[in-house]
Amino acid sequence: MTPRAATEQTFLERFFARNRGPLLVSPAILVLVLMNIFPLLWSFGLSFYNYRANRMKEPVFIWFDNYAKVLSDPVVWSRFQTTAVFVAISVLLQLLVGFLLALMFEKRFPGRRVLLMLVLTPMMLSFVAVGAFFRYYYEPTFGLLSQAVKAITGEPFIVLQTPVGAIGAIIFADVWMWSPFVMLLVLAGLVSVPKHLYEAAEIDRASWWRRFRTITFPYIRGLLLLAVLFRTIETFKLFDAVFLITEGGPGTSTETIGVYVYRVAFQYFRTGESAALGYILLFAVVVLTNLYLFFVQRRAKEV
Amino acid sequence: MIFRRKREIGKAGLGRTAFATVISLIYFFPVLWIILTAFKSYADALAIPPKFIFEPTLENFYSVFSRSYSAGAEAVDTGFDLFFFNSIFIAGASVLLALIIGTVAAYGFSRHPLKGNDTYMFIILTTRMLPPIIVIIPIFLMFRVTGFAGTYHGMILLYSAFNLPFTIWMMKSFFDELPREVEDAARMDGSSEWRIFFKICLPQVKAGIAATAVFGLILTWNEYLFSLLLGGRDVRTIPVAMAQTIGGDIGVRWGLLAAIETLFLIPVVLVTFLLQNQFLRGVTFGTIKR
Amino acid sequence: MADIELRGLTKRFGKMVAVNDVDLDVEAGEVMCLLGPSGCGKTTTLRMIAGLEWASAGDIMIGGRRVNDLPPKKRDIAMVFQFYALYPSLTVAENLAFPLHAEKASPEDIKRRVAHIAKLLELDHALDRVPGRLAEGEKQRVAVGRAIIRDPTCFLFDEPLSRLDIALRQEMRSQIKTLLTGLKRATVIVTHDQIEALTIGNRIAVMRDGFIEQVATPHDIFASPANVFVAGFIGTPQMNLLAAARLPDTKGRLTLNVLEQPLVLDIATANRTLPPPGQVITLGIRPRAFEPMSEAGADTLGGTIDVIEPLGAETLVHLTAGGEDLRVVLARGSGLRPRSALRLRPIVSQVHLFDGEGRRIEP
Repeated sequence: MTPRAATEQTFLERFFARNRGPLLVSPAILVLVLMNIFPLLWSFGLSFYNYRANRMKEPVFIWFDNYAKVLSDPVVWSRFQTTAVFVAISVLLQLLVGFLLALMFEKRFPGRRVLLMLVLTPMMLSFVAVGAFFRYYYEPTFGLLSQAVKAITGEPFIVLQTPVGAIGAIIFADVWMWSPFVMLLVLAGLVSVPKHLYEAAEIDRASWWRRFRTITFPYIRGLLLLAVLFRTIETFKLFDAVFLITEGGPGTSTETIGVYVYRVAFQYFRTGESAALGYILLFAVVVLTNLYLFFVQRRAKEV
Repeated sequence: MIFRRKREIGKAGLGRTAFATVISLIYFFPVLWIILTAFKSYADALAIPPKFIFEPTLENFYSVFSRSYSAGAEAVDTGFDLFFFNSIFIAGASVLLALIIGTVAAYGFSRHPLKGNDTYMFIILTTRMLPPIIVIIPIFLMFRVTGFAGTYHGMILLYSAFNLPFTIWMMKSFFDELPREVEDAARMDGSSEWRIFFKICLPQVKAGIAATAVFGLILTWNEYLFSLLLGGRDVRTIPVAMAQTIGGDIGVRWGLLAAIETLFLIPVVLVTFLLQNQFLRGVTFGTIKR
Repeated sequence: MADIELRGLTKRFGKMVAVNDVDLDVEAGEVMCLLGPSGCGKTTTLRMIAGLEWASAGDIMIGGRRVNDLPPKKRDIAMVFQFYALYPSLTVAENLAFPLHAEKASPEDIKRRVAHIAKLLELDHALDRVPGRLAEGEKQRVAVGRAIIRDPTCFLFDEPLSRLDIALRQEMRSQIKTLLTGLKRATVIVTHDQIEALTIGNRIAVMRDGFIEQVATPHDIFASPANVFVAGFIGTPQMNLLAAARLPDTKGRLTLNVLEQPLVLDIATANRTLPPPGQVITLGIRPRAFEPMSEAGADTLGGTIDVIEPLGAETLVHLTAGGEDLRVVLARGSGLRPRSALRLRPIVSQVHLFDGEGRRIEP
């Protein structure tokens, strides 16, 4: 739709009419280019240099050495493994808990709205706040969890002392925080099931399981997939919660790739290397985001 | 069987309310416990076993803003009044700025699509999804050169950019839902494009603007990493101040920490209730509407 | 000179041609209905006249002025939208007044004209409500009111009644007709409902696949459809369109082999441009253009009754004849039994003939 020259329009009117789209989006694009695209390109450049932001030394161009170093570094791979463990277990548990919560809230009952908001609150909280909560609950002497376990077993319990305990503790906090997200998506799927299908199933005397498999599941399948992708992207970047609850410890057992990049960039100040690592992460996120949008669009066509 | 009333499909009774109340309260318990702890005295907060019944006190809340660091010493300003002001001011200003620029851009993307519109939208979403560390390093260097680090205008610019992708995606999803016919009608009735935007489109997305603003405020209010790395003491926000407090000078004064957290949480918990209908859209950046 | 003139109007969306070389004139005071199945290009044509789509080729003239390059507001038109397009945040009164702001009308003038329209369309009671609180029929009237509150050269209606229920639709049909008669403006109405087109329109333009198939008065379009498509599209139940092979004439009368039966029609072949014997033509007979006959004759067709549908005063009978379906509406249905034979004589004055390309053969 390109408006043609009209006799009664001034030059400016014509200019605005022809370039409405670009004019409207340009302020936003400008800010994004300045604060996102330009830094991204800069990072890309940095990833080819041997550079430390806290030294005055001139950067040295080293081609793909940073990438080669990062990809051949066993530490990086073990951090990826830690992250993968977090993503796999945490997202799976979020799906399970979120699903059960959704089933509880599926039907209308008195007080549903208020209770729903209580359950949704964790996801609106800051990672810092959640981290602080759980540090308090996991605290060896006064923490609620430690006291509860001690009351049962009689032994002092320090959950963050062992790698398994620390991983579990972080996953617990993450699942608590983000299961409501999955619940929201599943609920959206559940309410989109046409009621007459359930009525028909009732008439046909379908069992609960059969009704779920043939009617409910097809309607929530797409949303579940989106939930998995969205949570995978976010959990993949897991940083704040780990940083605040365990700071990566004990040892490096809970150091996710997100925390590791932070350390490389701002504690070891190996700036070029961290940029290269960042770009490897970016690639993964772009692929996942693309997949996510692909399924969003596919679902939009179905609905 | 005549007396058994059949439930209507899609509705559950009070039994479900009771069950759901118990589960929801268990789920909400971590938040609730923090709020309770905030009202406990130093001794009550450390009591073993934990106390559910106690005499509430406001001393922790006073101590958030000024306290003495050793027994008998004079109370000193903790700086938390400044940190709260910083959080409110930076979040408010950057959300407002992002909302203005973002709403106009979202209208453009929705109504006057460019060539490769979807690609632009994808890149915009990606800038939000990407691991923040990648952009932080160059922004860190940029801010060091320009002197923006640790200034209000720097932080506001930073958070405006942080909020912009979310704002654009959210607002575009609202504009996309408006019937085009109404705008066509206004065009036929002799309205200018400005009038259509301000008088026809904007009033219809009022609820969307409100939801986007509230989500933006919460996201900015909660943000930690940018503020940690790019803000200084003068513009320190609550999350950073709080995180430093955890490992810092207050030791096991859990009541005090809980009071800080409570002050930090209450606005979020309150406005969460305002979002009800736009929740799903908000947490998925407008990609899923229902 | 007509108030709306379309000359070679064409709209392409990429490779798809939505509107193809359309010529159309609408005179002042005339109501033109664009009728056709969905996707035929009627709405696109209307939107091009309105200026909401740009024409790919051709000219649009309104009031003698070429308006192709003008934005909608400079074309001097008013439009009623399918979904009413009421401004949701404005009250009914403000909605009605909206177009007047662009005219820079004085507040008193606005007040007077809104009151006038409200009275005309019986909207007085609803003036302070917002569209969300109106009944469907009221919304529709507000949409009409917003269009007629101005005094443009022409009016455009996009499926104006499609959202109303049947009773309301009938009522609004006659209301709109009365209204339009009083306004004496060139009007274009897009509709897919033939009853609406036949009752409201002074003339009807039937469209298919971007082409105009025929432009004629409601009577003419029914009595002499220009081609097989129009013949089949207009009229319910649908016209029987039967493939017929021309046989040698019987005493100068047209003789056909139709439904595997010979049929002599009382039509003199002498002065007509008919395809030669042996050629296939299409014979069109409306379901109501049959007379039941008690005995066989050269001018009758026979068939076996399949289904009998009482329509109230009349009866619709589905027959099978020569392996094809035949729809017949009879004044009385008593005595008819499924699987029994029925003989019918086409009423020759209401028989339509179409050539091999489906074009009407004029008598």
